[in-house]
Amino acid sequence: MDASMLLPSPLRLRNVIAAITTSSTTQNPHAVVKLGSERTDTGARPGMVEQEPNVDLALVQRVQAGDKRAFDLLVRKYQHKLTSVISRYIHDWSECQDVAQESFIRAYRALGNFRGDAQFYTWLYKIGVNTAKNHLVAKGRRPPTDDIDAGDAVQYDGGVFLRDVDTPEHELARQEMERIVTATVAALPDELRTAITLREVDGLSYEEISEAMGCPIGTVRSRIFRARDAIDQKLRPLMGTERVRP
Amino acid sequence: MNNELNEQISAFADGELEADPARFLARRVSTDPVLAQTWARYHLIGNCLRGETCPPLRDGFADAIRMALDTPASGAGREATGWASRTLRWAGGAAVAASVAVAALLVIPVGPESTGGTSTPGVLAVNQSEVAPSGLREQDLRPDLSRAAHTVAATRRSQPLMPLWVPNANGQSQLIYLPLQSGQYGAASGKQQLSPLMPEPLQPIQPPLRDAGSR
Repeated sequence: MDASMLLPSPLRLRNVIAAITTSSTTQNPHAVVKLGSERTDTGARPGMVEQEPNVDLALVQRVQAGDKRAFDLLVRKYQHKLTSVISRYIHDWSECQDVAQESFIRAYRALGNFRGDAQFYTWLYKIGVNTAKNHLVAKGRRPPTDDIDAGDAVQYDGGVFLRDVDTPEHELARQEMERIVTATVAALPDELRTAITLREVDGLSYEEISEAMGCPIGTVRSRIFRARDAIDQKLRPLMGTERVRP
Repeated sequence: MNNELNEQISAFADGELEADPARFLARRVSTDPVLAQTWARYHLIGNCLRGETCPPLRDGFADAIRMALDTPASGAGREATGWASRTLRWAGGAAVAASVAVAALLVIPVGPESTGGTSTPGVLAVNQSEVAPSGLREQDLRPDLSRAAHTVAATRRSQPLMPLWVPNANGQSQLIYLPLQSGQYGAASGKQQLSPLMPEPLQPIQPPLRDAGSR
């Protein structure tokens, strides 16, 4: 039997969260309908209020104004996402991280050209893909002809990655991370689970969540934080094991 | 206090913080490693919930980028911004082009003496014997400059004039100027390429009558 079948895949994770959320929010059809909608190229669902790009733009403007430290926040925000995208082109995980770091450095140096016409992640994604392709060409390998959509690139297929990655140790660590998050979310009180799912999975704004859950925005903010904090406490020990990795 | 700060980071990660607190918090998070890691983990949690997980990154992934950017060679917008870098790049290209042109002038042989008598490709060699014979002499095409120059009207200055001695009604020679027209003679004689400018009508220049009383 395939080892990946024993552990929760991302799609199964989403189904579990969706099922839990659906059962806990049946009194509010608005929240349930949102779960089945399609994602845009930025990972957001159509019609949702995209707040995060404003954060990105504010950080970009600070970097352009000379605050180099603000770029560190953008790196920490997108480091996993961009490395995951690059892993679609480069299958050695250590090499992936090198290329991702180079992509961030290139993005920083080219940030003066960023005018905010596109979203920052879309722009960063293109730099990452180009850097990965250039890396393959420099190594004498042929880059793939088909580009991966920015939204689909991070949607993860564990089976594919298990075949491609250089060692199954990384894949097991990833699955362990997913298992902990899924188990923690499942154990959360209904109101916390609903709030964090509507925010992270469906991309609703605090205002939309407050309407869906029938509570003030301040309560939504508190619930989302408590849910995150609970997951973070379980996740932190696992992140400690990251230190021994190359 | 820490929970309050983390709650602010949580709201900031969602883009739900007001502009001023967000600016203050961004500065604080970017200078505090513990808060920066919290910021990173909150985003990682979101990735996990959306099924966008990846294997853990190596320790110090973001720190290595920050250190690389702290080197003096790095700068935001360094690659393509700034007129100075663009000007330097343009000037460098122009200098290379100029040096190539000078090298080409020095290396490539120019002129018949450098060809050593052999025909250069692309240059049509014409033998003198192949030129159609003409009844004109070289002197016929030259004005007589032995006489004092006459004043020429300043009209039609743009059209070239040719001096010509012709006999007048009294039997004396008289200097006149004929306007030259392009190619007229050549078209008639088949030597259009050899004499682009010729007077019309073309008559051999008669020698001036130096002594009218001798007739």
